[in-house]
Amino acid sequence: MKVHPSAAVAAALLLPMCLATAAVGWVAAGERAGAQPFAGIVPLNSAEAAGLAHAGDVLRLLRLGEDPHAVHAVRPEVISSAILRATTVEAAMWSRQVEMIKLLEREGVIDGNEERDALACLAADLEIDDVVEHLAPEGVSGCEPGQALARVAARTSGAGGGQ
Amino acid sequence: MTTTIAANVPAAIDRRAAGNTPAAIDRRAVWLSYGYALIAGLALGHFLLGLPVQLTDSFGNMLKLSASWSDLISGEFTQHAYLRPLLWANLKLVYDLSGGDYFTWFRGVHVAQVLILVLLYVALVRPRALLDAALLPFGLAVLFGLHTFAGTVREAFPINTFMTVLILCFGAALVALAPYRWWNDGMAMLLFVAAALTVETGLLVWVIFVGAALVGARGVSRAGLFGLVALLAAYFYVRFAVFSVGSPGLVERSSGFGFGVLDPDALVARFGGNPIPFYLYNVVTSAVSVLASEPTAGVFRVTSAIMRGGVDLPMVMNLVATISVTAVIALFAWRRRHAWLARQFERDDRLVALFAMVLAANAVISYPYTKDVIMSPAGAFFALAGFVALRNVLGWLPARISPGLATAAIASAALVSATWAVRVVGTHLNLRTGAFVERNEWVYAESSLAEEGVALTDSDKVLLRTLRDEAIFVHPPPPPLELPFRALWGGE
Repeated sequence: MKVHPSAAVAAALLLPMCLATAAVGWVAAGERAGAQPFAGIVPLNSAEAAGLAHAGDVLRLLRLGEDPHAVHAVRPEVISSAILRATTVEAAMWSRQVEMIKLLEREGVIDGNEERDALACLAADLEIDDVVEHLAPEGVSGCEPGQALARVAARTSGAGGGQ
Repeated sequence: MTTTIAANVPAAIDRRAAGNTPAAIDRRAVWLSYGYALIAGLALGHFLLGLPVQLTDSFGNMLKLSASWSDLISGEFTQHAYLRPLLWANLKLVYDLSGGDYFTWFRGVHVAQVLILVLLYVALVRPRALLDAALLPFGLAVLFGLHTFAGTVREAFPINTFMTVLILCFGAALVALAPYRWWNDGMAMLLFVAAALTVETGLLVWVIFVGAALVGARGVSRAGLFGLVALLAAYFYVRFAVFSVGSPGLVERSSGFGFGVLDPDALVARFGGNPIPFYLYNVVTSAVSVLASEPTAGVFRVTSAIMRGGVDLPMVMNLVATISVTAVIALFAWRRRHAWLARQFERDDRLVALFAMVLAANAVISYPYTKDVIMSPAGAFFALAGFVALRNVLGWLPARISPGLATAAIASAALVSATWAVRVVGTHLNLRTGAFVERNEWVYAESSLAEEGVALTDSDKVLLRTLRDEAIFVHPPPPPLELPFRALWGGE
């Protein structure tokens, strides 16, 4: 059967729309059914959430009882292949957001001068000036440059990851 | 599918010649069209449900909603620049009905609004043949994908007022273009009062009724039109003479101009002596924005990017998409000019004419400052006009054309459709990005308000924590999306 030009043009207009609707509908229907089609990186723990700067997920996971000082597995796409194991507060440094650090303080996660100093050293190694200034307004002291970062990275190399 | 459509094409073309009065309605086309519209609306609704009630724009408004009805509404008649009592009545009603379950009610209303809008869209364009049904996804993509629509879904206050006006405008067009019934006049006046007292762009409802009458629509009687004229006069009298509400001045908010955005101080410094050139700029650029997607919000971003040599793919696609639809509407108007000059208007002619009138009036209403969402009524009528123009233009294609021309037409259609497909997906992606941004705002809400020196009462804090907990814990964030070909959305 010969196709009328109008029908052919209408089909050409319809096809991309069908693809777009299918993609959007697939996501919507999938998510309603509990799946996650086309999902990007979804944090699996509070350390991943902190590293990705997903503040809402950090707060939610901490309220669900996750220990922010426990060492969590972190996938390579969250921080890097060199950092695959970190605590929530350590991973938060890679968000490079001082607001995230302040959030953890408000939640009572960062407590004591010793922990603040250690985190300030890590922030200094990562060259996040506003976080350093916030954690150590008088300036960092007692830091061996690169040591704090090396200590976090050592967990990965010690566990045989990061290759 | 293609052969089925082909079989219906001659009937569709005959219908055009008969002046939009089909001999028979293909029920399959009607059901397919409404079914598709519902699916598209529900999909968008799903993405809307990913957004929490906003901190910005919504929380402050909700604090006001704890006031009594009388205080809330009377306060609207004693303020400067805006007259929007029904906006607040609408918010207050949903707030009271919610019983504290704000997310469900406010987001639910937003989803219901989207569904109503798409159903009204289908009712207005009246798909009668399978060819129409095949074009409907394109028409809805223009509705959802145009930049003026984004603000009707991405934001809420916590009900999106502009979406309310879109529904009222589509409702007005439906009444105006319908056969006259005894209740149409009352309905017309009700729609006008509701729209005009919700937000200033609601005055477009008056333009729709009067404009439709000017092009021969008889949905509203002469007496009804006189009633509308009287109501418009009463609106201006009440606004300016009784309550001295006035209109927005240069100091109300920032506005785009040229290649950047000027804040109120800069606007006053530049146009304080004579704001007329600035107002003219806003009117012209607002209209052009709908027709070309450049400028947007008064800023010539694409032009600036071209001058800097930094134009990217999404910018080009937006221009191609919008200008193509404008070209189809222009072609339709050109082909129908003789009939129009002879004052022979069919329903599709009236919809295109209404678009032109709404565009002009909407641009005039936008005179104080430019904002894409203010032009959303014109954008929505652009989608209506684009659909009806397209189905007519397709109907005019001869049955036999050269293979080269056919190939060019098919390739152009596929290209333009692809650009709109990208835009409509972009609208959904924008909502998902918004879901992340809004939740993060709630996480930092208490500290950011404290830093701004905002003093909250105990009851304010209860509301803040309720909304924050709803946003973060009760309705956790949907996952970010990682679609293939991300560059098409400019890293959205």
